[in-house]
Amino acid sequence: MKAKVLVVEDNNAMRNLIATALDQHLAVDVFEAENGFAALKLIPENDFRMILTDINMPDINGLELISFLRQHPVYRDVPILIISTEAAEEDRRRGLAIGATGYLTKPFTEGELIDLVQRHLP
Amino acid sequence: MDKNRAKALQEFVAEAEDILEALAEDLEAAQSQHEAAGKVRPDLVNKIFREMHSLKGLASMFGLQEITTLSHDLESLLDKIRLGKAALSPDLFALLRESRTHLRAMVGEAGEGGVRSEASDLLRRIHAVGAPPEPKPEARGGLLLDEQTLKSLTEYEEHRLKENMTEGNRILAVLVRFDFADFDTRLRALTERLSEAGEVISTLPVMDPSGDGGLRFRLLYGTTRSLAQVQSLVADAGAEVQDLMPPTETAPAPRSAAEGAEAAVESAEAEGEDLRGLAKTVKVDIEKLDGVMGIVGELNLLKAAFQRIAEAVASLPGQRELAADAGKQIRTMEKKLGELQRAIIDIRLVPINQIFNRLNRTARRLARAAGKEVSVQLYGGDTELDKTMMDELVTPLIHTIRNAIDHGIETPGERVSAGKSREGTLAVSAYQKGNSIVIEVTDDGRGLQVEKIWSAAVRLGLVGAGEEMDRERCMELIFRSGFSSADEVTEVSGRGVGLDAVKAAIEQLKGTLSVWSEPNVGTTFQFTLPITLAIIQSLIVRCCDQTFAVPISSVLETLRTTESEIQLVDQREVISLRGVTLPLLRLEERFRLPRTRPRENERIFIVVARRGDKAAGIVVDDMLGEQETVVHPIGKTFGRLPGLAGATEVGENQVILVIDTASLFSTIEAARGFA
Repeated sequence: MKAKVLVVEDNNAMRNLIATALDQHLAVDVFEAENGFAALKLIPENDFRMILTDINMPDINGLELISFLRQHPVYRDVPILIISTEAAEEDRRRGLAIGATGYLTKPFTEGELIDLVQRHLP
Repeated sequence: MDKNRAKALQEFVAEAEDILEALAEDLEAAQSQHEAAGKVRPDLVNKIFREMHSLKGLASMFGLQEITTLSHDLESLLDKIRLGKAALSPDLFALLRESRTHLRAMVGEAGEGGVRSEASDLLRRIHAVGAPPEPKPEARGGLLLDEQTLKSLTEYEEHRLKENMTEGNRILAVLVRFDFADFDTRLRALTERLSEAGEVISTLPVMDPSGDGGLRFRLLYGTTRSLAQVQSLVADAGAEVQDLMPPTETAPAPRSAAEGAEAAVESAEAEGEDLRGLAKTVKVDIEKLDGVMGIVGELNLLKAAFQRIAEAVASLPGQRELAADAGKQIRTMEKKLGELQRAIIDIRLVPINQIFNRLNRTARRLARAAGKEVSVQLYGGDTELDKTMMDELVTPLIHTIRNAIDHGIETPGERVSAGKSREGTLAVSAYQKGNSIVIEVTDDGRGLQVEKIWSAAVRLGLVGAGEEMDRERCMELIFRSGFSSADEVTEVSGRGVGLDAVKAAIEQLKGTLSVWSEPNVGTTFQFTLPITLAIIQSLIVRCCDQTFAVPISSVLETLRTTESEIQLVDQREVISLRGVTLPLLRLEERFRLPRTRPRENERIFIVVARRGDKAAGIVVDDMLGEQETVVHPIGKTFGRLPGLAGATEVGENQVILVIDTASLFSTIEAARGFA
């Protein structure tokens, strides 16, 4: 069975772009969540091997999601990659501080995305 | 991301337009709040910031420089505003509205080939903003804030926390537990209620130690209300409220989130090197695999040649031992070739999940476009089938899904009046059944409207006016070409748009398509496909001492008859089958096979095979049974021979030709003018 990867991003087109790229280039099953709530629903029911998340989202933001995952017995060590922008540098630092594994800054190329994901996929 | 750029750009335009639409509404709401109260609710300002942030991120991904620059500078300005580093004013609202209009025009231009508008004037005005409001004294009273909440605050949330403290608001923690099933709706309702009397600064999900399947949340809340007032406000949600402001001065000051963050970033970067893993998979072009499969086919032909040589050697005097040894080696080679073949087929198989994600996305987009509420459910994603088939399946599946969403599933209003849930369900499920894969697309919509299909068929002359309606035939009629393109049928039946194309695509893949439908309950389209096209079930036939394989998928039935039953009509051989005239062709004629000895008796067999919508018969001497065969392309050796699909081996060392009925009939039709 292929590794399951979760993409949490509230912007549809951005999420589509990421999911499609992962879909096409890696042997992974891509799951999508359009906000933190949707992610919380998927997380206990799927054994995700990696989570990519945006930070700026309504309801529950990326930092809160990372914080939750790092307390979770199953997700304590699962790689979490932050998708952020130059402008969100401070939040990205905070994300890494609470346990995110790495980050990607928009704009990124398909190659950079695949590279980073491949590097961290267990 | 150059591939499909035009399509991707379209998606960008659609998404950007949505964002700008929401931005227009939010700016308007913010301005009226500002006019009425001299300030704007922080969550609204943050929402406007997030919209600009999304737009900028998107535009940068698509390399749209002008849009990126303008939205970036606006994002920075809005970031300052939400962090209290710039103040809102009527002039600023005018600038934001003007910028939004400009962005809207640029997005439109991007969709039509390129951004032409230029924004230097706006950029200059944006840069001129930023004289910060009077700095407020920072309130930093001790707060009994737990480490986890503190560290999970974004820069904005930390700012909002400080602002609330500066304004002298009470800072509370609201702890609540919800059942997993409906936590999102209940939490949103609670947040909404709390927002009427204050500001929910952050929402942190926390692990539930009880492990009862629920979810706990810790909300950071700033309010002017008393602890007791808030307690009664959230009592019915079972929430617990804590005051985070200690009555004394002795509590420790909160650590700045940024301080802790810096230390942790360093350690995370130090670990970075160790986290690199080696990729364990490689991607292979499917054509290369086809090439390897072709080589296996050629090796099988070679193996048969060796076998013949070994047999010849065996007949020489005194060479029996040598021949036995050769035979043993050839059998080992045969076994290894079999393993190689299975390994290649195994590589070609991929889980259907690979297209499920695409189907899911498309279905959701189509539902949104059609104004329907649809829950998309996917089952059996682990089911494996041939990669080439999977690629060919996407279009017919999307076609079927589009049909289900456009015509099967009703609008929310129609569903409610029919006594159904507002939200329709579209399920795509895949499972293996013997050597086949079954894929079903099911909707819980209105179902096929058989009466209307029937009357349209009568009108089109497909069925007689006096005939009684037949549900079964209705299900077949919708796949007839011509029928589906009739506009009024499409209108009333709500089905049939290009279903003939779907059927043709599935048949191309040697699959079958069937439909089940119940009025007001729904419709199911069922696709049954072989797992791979590399292995097929074949009927083995013999003609003039030559053996051939005919793929079972194209065989309708077989007949045992005699030469005397064959009639000549207009110089063509035909046979009457249940009152229908069936055109015939003889393999010996097509492939110019020499008949070395006459048939022992009159008995012949006819393989009735599909010929487009109709059927035709292939006359053979004998039928040897069914067998699973691996078809190898014969490629260069024979050139592309019409009527042949490739070669396969049956039994011991025997390579036989596989017949492709479609091209076999079409060459005969061309030569003899088949009706």
